Formats: sequence, C-alpha cells, structure tokens
Amino acid sequence: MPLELRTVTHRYGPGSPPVLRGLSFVFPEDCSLAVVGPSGSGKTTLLAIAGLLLAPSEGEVRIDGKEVSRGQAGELRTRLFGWVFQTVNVLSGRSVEDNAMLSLLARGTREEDARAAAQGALATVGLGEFGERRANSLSGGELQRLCIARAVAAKPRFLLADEPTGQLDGATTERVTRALIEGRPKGTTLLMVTHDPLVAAQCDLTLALQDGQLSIGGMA
Amino acid sequence: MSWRPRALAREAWLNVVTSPWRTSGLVLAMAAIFGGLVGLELGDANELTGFQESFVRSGGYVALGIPAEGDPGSAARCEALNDQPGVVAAGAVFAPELETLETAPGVLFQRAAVTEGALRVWDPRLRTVPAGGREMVVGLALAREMGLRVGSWLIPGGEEPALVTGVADVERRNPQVARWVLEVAPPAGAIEQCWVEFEPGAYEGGLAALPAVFTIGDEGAVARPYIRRDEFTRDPASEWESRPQKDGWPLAAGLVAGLFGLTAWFRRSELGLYLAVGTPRSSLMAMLAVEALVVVGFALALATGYAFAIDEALRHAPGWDEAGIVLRTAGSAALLALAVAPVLGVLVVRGSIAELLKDR
Repeated sequence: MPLELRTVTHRYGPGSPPVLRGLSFVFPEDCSLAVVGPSGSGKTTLLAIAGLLLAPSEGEVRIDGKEVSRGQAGELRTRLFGWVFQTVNVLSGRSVEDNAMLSLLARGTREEDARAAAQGALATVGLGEFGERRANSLSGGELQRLCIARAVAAKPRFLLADEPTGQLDGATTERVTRALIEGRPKGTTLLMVTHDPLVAAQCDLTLALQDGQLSIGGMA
Repeated sequence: MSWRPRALAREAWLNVVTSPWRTSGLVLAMAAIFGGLVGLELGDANELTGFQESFVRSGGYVALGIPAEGDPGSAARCEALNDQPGVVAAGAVFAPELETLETAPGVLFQRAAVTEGALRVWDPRLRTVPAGGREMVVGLALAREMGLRVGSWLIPGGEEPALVTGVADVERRNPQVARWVLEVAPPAGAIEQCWVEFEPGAYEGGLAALPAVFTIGDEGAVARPYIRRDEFTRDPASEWESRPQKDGWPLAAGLVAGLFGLTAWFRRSELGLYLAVGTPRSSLMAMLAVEALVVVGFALALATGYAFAIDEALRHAPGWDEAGIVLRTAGSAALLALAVAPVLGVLVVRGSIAELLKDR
C-alpha cells in the first residue's frame, strides 16, 4: 500500500481558513507526480503533510495502510523520505561529497558506505567530478543538483521536491528536472510541487490542487 | 537508526574547522570572556598571596606568651608547644642582658639565651643551629657592623671565645634591638617570653589558648600578638572569600553559552537541514556539544595562556596554588557553558523545519 492522505484538513492557527479541506488521496507508487496549482493553494502544505514535516489539523497520513502517529513521524521521515527544497540548503563550507552523504549518515550508515553511495548519486546528477569541491563554489543549478543527489543517495521510497526549479533559468531547469525524474532510484515515488508547466509535463502524472482539494490532471 | 557516534563527532569537527571565520570569531570572543575572568582571578590571587606571604614573613601569625615571673617549668612548656598541631615553631627567650665585646670595646649588644625553637621563630630560614656551649648565632645587624660571618670567633665580655655558627635575620621579627648574640640553651627553668608562630588558620585559637599554658594557680600569664591588629589590618582570607569574580563564573558561563546560542541562531538553516535529513534533536544536541567542546576548549586554553603570560610579565609567575584556583574558577565556567550551550543551540531550532530551511 502506498502513501495515502485521508480526509486531511489543515489550518494555520485557530479561526484561519483551511488550506486543505478534507483532502483524501492515494499516491501511486514508483512514478513521478507533479502537483500544480495557483499560489497560496496549499501545495507546499500538502507536501509538508505528505512528507511528515507537518502534522495535519485533522485527518491522517497512512503509509502501507497504517496510520502514522506523531511518535513515528520522525523515524519514518528519516527512513522513507528524501527532500529537495526550493531554496538551496547545503552546508556551504563543506565539500560536495560531505553534503551528499548527509542523509545517509543521519540514517546511521557507515561512513565508507555513505561515501560510496554519495559518489554514485553525484555521478547520477552529473556532479561526479565535483566531490572534493566546496559546496559554496557551485552554481545555483549545481547546488540544486547536489540537493537532489543528497536526497536520492539514501534511496528514499518517497522523494519530495518543493519547486526545485523555482529559482533556475531554462537550461538549468531542464538539467535539474531530468536529474530528479531520471536520477531517482528505481521504485522511488517522486512528488514535485511546481509552477512550471514544462516541468510538470515531464512527470508521469499531474495533480492539480485547488480549493483545498486534489484532482488528477490540470495545468500549472 | 541515527548517526553513528564517530560520524557525528567527525561532522561536528568538520563544522568547526570548515568555518574558520565563524570559529575564530567565536573562540576570540569566548577567550575574551574567559580571559577577563582568569585575569581578575590571577590579579587578586597574586596580590592577596603576595600580601599573605609578606604578612607571614613579618610575623603576622606570631604570638608572645609572658609566663608568670619565676615559673620554673615555663621553658619546657614553651618548647613542648612545638608538638602541638597548628604550631609552626615555638621557643623560649631567657632574660636578655646588655654586654660588650672584647674585640670591639664600647659596642653594646643584646645577649640572650634562647631555646632552639626561638631561633626558628625569629628566622625561619636559619639552617645551622648551634649545638650549645661555645657556639653562638649573631643577628644580621651585628654581623654586618662587625664583619662577622659563620666561622668567625667572638669574645663576649671576658669569656672564652665562641664560634659563630649562624647569622640570623632576627631583626625582621624582633626589630626592637638591633645587635643580637644568641646562644642555645636547654628548655629548662624560668623564661621571660615564649615566642610561638602559628599556622594562619590556627592563629586566633592558639593566641586565645596561650595564657592557659603558662598559668600556674593564681599566677596569671598573658599572651599578645606580635603584630597588633585593628580595623585597618587587612585579612587576606576574607578578602579572597569576598572577591566579586568568585560569583562571576556563572555569568561568564552564561555569556559564553549565549555566544554559542547566538551563532546557532545564525546557523538555523544549516541546523534545520540536519533535522530535515532525519537527524533527531538529541543527535543534533550531541553534535553541538562536540562543537562547543572544541570551541570552548580552544577559547579556555587561549585565554588561560595569555592571561598567565600577561600576569607573569606584569607581576610574577603564578604559583601552583594560584594556578589551581584560577583554573578551578575558569574550568567551572567552561563546564557550565558546555552544559548550557548545546541546549541553547537546539532551542533556537525548535519549531517548523520548513520555516528553518527558508531562513538563509
């Protein structure tokens, strides 16, 4: 059984209007999904709830048919999810390889194994020659690909990306999108929030979020 | 399923060394705080221990017991005080008298028979003690005036020549009479005075108990301090206890931990990243504890090093006691800072991870 949201409603503070309204959705496995929708429609909130970064005000998140409790969220987030954010978050003074190893080390992987996996992930996103360089010497697109490498190195079951190309130019967007879609490990479900219809079009399925509800199909 | 301890320690170390500007700024700021604390402690410790030493040297803990006149057992009881706890040295002075030297007619000097302990009270540095008989110790003033030294011969008032076996700086603690010739007598018979030097902590009690040692029946004895004290007399022990920095180390620890917390606040997107990749807050705190250990350790070493160097250049090399006191104060501050700093680091990254990651 895959990742499932069941009657999820979320409000930012009591009395505020709900961003998500009783949303239920079963995310198919081993495919790439783009979530599109107007600004403020709750795309990032949806991603944060699905990725167990945020607990919904109401409703539940289920993985493999089991409801995820608050106590389990941290452990499952570490074990099953990989993240790529719109803003590039790296340890800027550290080497590219150190950054790519981070998710693995956080999971308790031995350093040698983590380094080997990180080198493989960097090669997948086209940064195989950059391992020794400091992260702050990379361009914006290279940094975003580093973030993808960090996320996929741990072979997550769910790879969540929040507007990963939002701050990139056209050519770089193409490279980053390809790295995300084609570079993700086999069996990994990609859930990507994007405003870019060209990016969304490259995914297996596009999901539209509007008025707090998710539907299959739609335009960015 | 979290960080292996070795990997976490390596991560912390790399975070410290790959941010040289942040690390060196933090180390210097913390070193300034520790340095202030250490400098104050060293200054006070030096000043007070210096005063204490000069106070002891000048006889600050010496008392004089005056037995009842003609008490035949007073010499023995005086010398027996050497066996009492808290007594550094005690010795009796028999009735001194004025004499003149054969070799220098007209030069009057004070001659006295003393027990061996009295020589140790009057000049603690005196090594050679005369065996008695025709061996004598001369005071420093007389020795300088007459050109006497150890091995010289002295002919006091028509007697057989006596060998000078020691030159004692008796004037330091007995400055009333400048020229002394002393001979050691056995502790028997009546004495004029009993000089007793106490350890600083035993002085007050010893002084109070001293008259009872020489009181026989109704015959009262008295004791008095060699240096009289009044409200203007300094008390190094109470000054040390009331030094302001004694209670200042928690403040220093708070400032150091606060600096660490402040840098964690500026690093919250970086720390949020650790959380986002699945690092539990407990592991994050452990990582910050290792970082704090390295930074605080460097700062403490740097501060202590330059504070000691400056102190040595300005005053004198601190002794082990002073160094121990200083390191205990600074070490307490460092340990408290090490306990608090990682907690502050984790507190600044509480809340939504997504919000932390936005913050760059």
